[in-house]
Amino acid sequence: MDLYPFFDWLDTSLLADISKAYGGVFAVVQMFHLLGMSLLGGMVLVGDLRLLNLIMKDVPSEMVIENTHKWFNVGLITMIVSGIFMSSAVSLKLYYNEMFWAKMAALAVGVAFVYLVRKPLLTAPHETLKPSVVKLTAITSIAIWFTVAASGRWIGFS
Amino acid sequence: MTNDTDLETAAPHKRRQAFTVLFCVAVLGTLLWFWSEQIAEVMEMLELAYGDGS
Repeated sequence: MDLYPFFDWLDTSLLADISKAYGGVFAVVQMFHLLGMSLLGGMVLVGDLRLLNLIMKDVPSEMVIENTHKWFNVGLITMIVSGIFMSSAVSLKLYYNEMFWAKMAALAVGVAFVYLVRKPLLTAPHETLKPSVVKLTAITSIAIWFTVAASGRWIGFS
Repeated sequence: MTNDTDLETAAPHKRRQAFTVLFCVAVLGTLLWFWSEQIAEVMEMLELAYGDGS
């Protein structure tokens, strides 16, 4: 499926007009993007390091996962909304950027992983799950979100 | 003692855990391939820029 028409439309949309013309607005939105990213990354790390039994050992892992997941959602929505606005400023450039697509693919895998694999698995009492599976889930989660963040930064250098 | 209810609740967990393992292995394998490609590319560029150090 060719997404070029979407990126072409985004390049001439109202969002693009605003993001290209008002540097101040872009900077504020970028701040929210970074805030969303740090919130998401923080929640992923706290949840996964708890699953790996490295931090907060005195707090039940179910409680940590439940609380971090709520704020993960907030971070993800903030990141996606602000990310669409930011990408409108350079949408055609992004379309031809290999690392942008690597980031999008990692993001799609990350979202699928969180809502179709990690969350359904961890709704069960954690003591009924195999510790090795829980740890593998945590390591995979960290690896996916590291890739999303690193490939996102790489866009600027590629 | 394991009764029928226990078996019923344990089965979905088992399937879900098996699915999780498959998903995680596939994702980790793909990420390993992706990053090794990126690192190889960077090493190649460094070699082109600075030579092999000899």
